[in-house]
Amino acid sequence: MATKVSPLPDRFGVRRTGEPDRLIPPPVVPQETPAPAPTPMPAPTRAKQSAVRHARVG
Amino acid sequence: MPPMPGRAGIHLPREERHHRQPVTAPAPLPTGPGGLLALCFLGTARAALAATVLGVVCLGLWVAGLALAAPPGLMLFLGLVVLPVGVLGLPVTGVLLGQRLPADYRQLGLRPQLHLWLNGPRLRRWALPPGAWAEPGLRRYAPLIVAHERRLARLSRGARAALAAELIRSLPSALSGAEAAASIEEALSRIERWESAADGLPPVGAKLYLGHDPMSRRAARVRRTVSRLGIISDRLNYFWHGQVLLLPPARSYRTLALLIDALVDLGVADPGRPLPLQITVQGDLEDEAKWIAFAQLLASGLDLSLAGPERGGDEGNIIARGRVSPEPVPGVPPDPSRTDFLFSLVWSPVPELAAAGYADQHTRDLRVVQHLAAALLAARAGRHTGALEQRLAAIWREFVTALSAACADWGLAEVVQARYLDEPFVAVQPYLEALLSRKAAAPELVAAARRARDQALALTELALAVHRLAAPGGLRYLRIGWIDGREEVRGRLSRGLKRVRRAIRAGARVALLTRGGDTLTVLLDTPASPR
Repeated sequence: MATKVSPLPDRFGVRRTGEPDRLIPPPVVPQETPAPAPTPMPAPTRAKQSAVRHARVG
Repeated sequence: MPPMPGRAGIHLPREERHHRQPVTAPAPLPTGPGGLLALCFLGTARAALAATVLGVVCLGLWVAGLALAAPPGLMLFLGLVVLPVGVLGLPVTGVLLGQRLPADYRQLGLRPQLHLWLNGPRLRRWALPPGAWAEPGLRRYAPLIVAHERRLARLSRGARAALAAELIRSLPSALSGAEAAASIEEALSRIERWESAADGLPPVGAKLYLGHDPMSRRAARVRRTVSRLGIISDRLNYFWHGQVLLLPPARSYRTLALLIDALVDLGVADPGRPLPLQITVQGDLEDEAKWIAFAQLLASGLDLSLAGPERGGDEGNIIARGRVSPEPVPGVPPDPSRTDFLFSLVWSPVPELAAAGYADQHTRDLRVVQHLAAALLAARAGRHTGALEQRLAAIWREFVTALSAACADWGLAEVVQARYLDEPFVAVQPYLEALLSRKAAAPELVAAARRARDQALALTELALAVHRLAAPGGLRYLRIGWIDGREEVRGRLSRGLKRVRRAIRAGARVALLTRGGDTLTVLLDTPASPR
């Protein structure tokens, strides 16, 4: 079967004009909001912890 | 969002999913002696004239040498070097150099081509279609445009053409360099957003069929005009006796719609007549593409009639498998196959219909074709695909089920079950006539087609938007709110998406999608809200 194509739309005529087909607007997608940066953890105080451990063991 | 490797979209075969598409940087303008040589031999008439002049000059020199009894060395030089180079070498080189120039550059007139040759070193590279530089408004601000060369190189050819159209419209009225820079940035950012938002959709191209004689002066004027936007005009088309404009492909339907509107504003259309529009989608959609055409033909508010009988040797259809492979688009893995849709018309040149709300019918057609084609491609991709493809495939099956049920209810089962792809016009004409006449008699069929189409479009757009937003880091929660301020719900993502889809099927629409951290927020608009 031949695959030649002519533009079919030139065959369409308009008899009547009805209510236009209105599409719903596409969803709005703004730029992604970045996640908030995590709060940095405070540095551990090693001297204090070892004193507590020694106290318990002792 | 720049295209990311591995997220090339749902239309890929699995093995090409991580293909990295090279950026198609524009070629440099022809400059210097080589560029001038190429210009002299562009086109048959110019090449023949240039070859004749060169041959006459070289032969004349040789004859003059003979007549004036020139030294033997000089005669040898004239005979062995000047003659062959002038009569054969230069013309052949010129023709070969000219063939490497893009088609839209070749269609420019001699004056703009000479101007581009003179300004080539200053403009460096073709950041925009070369014909755009023929516009004084753009030339004045060329350095500002060329400064965005890297961003422009990432755009599809259709996007560059649309940008050229926007700048041709806006730059001449810019009062200062700062205002021009702002216009350039606004237009470029807008088109970049459209193109990147089309991630996951198959690229779209188009052809516009103009009614006038392609050999007429009007056609020559149109050809020069559209060359400014990088659009090629097809002079001879066996199947269409008018002029055909080949619109370059773009990633987004919005880009192509902007380009079509710009062409209509440039006066390519005959006033009072619609322009047949062929919409091309990358990918092999097979016969199921007919459902997209059915949906748009049934949903259109126009009561159409179908002209016939078939002209001798002329076959047509609402869908066709394109013969020429589609042009690759940056950021999208190439596919050698394409599907053409031939049901659409541009109504903006017809004042009565444009005023009746059909001025943007072609934009609606482009949007529906591109999105439903994405769903169909996912359905054809088979079982071993990702979550997005499976979601889109489910949307497609739901759409076909709903539309075929509506058509069956109105006695069109045989019409929709017939084969359309690559069938001759005589085979599909009775079916199309039945479809159109049934539609004219049944407003409920129109409403049902619109419902099925609207739901499929909304669900497809939701799925693609969620997929794009989920990319960096993943999403866990979904928050739903209503635009009228009603209930706001936050829950797990999958459950929330089911709720959103139910709302869409009940007639709601997604107004806004945003992401904050691992939470997606969806704002819904109620069915009763005015559109």
